[in-house]
Amino acid sequence: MHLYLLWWLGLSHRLRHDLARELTFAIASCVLIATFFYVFNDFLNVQVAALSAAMHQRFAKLASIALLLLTGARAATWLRHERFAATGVRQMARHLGEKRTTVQAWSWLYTLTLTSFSHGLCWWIIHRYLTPWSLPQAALFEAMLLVTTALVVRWPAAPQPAMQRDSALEGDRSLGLTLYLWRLRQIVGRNRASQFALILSTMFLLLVALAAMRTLPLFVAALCSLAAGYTSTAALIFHLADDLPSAWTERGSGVTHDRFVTTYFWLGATLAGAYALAASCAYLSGAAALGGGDLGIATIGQALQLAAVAIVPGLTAPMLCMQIDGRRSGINLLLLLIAALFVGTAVFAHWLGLGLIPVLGSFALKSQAGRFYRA
Amino acid sequence: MTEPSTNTPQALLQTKQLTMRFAPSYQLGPVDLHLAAGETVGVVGRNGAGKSTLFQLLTGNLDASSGEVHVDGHRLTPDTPRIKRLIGYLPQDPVLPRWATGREVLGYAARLYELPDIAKRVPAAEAYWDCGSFRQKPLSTLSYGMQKRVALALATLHEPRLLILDEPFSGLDLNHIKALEELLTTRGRKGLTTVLSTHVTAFCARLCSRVWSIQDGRLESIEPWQSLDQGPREQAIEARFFAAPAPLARP
Repeated sequence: MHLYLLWWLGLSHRLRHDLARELTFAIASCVLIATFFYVFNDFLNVQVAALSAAMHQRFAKLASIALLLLTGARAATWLRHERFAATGVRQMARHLGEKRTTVQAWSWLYTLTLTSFSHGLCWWIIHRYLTPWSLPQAALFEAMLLVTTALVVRWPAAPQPAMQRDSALEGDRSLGLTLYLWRLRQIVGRNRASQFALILSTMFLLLVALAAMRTLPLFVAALCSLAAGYTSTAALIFHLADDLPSAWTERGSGVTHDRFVTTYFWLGATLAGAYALAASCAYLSGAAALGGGDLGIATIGQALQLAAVAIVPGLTAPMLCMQIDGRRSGINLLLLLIAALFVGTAVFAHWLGLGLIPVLGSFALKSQAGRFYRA
Repeated sequence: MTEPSTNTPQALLQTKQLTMRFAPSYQLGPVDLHLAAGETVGVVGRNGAGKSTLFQLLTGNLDASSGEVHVDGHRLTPDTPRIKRLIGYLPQDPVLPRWATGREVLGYAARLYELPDIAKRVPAAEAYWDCGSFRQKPLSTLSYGMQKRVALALATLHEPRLLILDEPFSGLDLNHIKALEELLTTRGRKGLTTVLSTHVTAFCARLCSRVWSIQDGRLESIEPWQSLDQGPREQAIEARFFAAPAPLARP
């Protein structure tokens, strides 16, 4: 119980001593969430209302599953961190020679508090704003979520990775290309969170092809394209959160803030471009499979439209991710979601909506002036 | 407090009224420094006295509330690449890219510094800091001391004219402490300047041509220094350190 109180005290101290930063973060999160609902009501509700009741229900169910999975993943990350981190109440208690049973009791209390709060909040949001679940369904899903969380938390820490290929000193390249290739290699080949996001993105591409094959409304394919673009850009956001704490190397070697952000812009453009092209190809493949290889001009136009929608998150993220705090991927994902929905809807309505991106970029550049690797 | 600034002809590092305000009741500075080429200066002070903050200000990584930093006669701002490349910096807790290997991060830094002969320079730095045996392992899998050696290799890779080391000895084993001491001595002979912080008075006494103490936000030079031998130098630091009232009552 003493350890549990210590944890609560630690939380309150953190809030008290870092009040300005935490307040900024909390207010920014609230503003973003409110904006999200505003955007949803004003732009997307019209599209959603046009769907059939069954489709509407299916979307609500999908959204609640996504929310549950995200919450479960976040809670599992926190629990796993507490279990394996070198610092923290658990490790401190063990180092101080606390009894094994006491440490275990603390772990259970911590797990119960965190899980009941995060999962409870999630179920309340689902029940209040999305779609009510029947009790057996909810209980089954929650049980599955808890079992998965337990497996993730108790999974042993990853073994030492294999030796890496020795190619660090090969080739001669410019400063910009060095910055770009260094990060691209980490994102695609090393950073596991980024790799997970890229795999998720590829799954959304399959859904684009499926939407074309099942002749679902174009809106559904567009949403899947946007999701593919969004998740591929999440890879960038995850890496930025990892990258900033070690950016003293770049700062020390005179890499300016502008150059650093420009690198992320080109990375975003690369990922977005690749996934936009892939979304377009996926749609065409799906349509071709359905029509026996026959593609009309209208279908090609629709595929281009999907590509334009998919490219939005990748182009907007580099402008947004240093606005609040680059080290917090959660807030950046939320910020990107709103911007992507807003600009993506505009682009879906008319390709000229792509013109919003330079406008956004202009505001972002102005607000970043004079900053030095800081939000 | 002002560091005496009259006798040194050409300043490699100079600050003018450099001040960092944390709260209405507490500030670091104003600091007026004048550091010539070839000097090795130690900075001592209690935990939280502002040593790391001073180093962050000197490297341009932190914006001062007021005042200026000049390196080699040029004003240092966050976006002055050429000037920043004159400096090598080791942070107190050097966070390294966890997905990369030591070899990769050194190669990357060498490219950022646009150094010639990367293929020779990087292995040489690895050899000096004894990083060769783990050069292909991801940095996240290395011990604190190993990571510190990679960070030291990073800070010294381009042989900077001004090297700023925040607690460089912590985490190093005896072999590498010796390597660092040799490096600092060699740098002094070559006319290269080093500023370092440490809590070990013996290092200051052995290696530094001057020592500053930070106390209550003020930077003061410990005098006399040059005329003293190692033992009295250590005593001079301890006398300055223990002269101030302790921040907390000891049990």
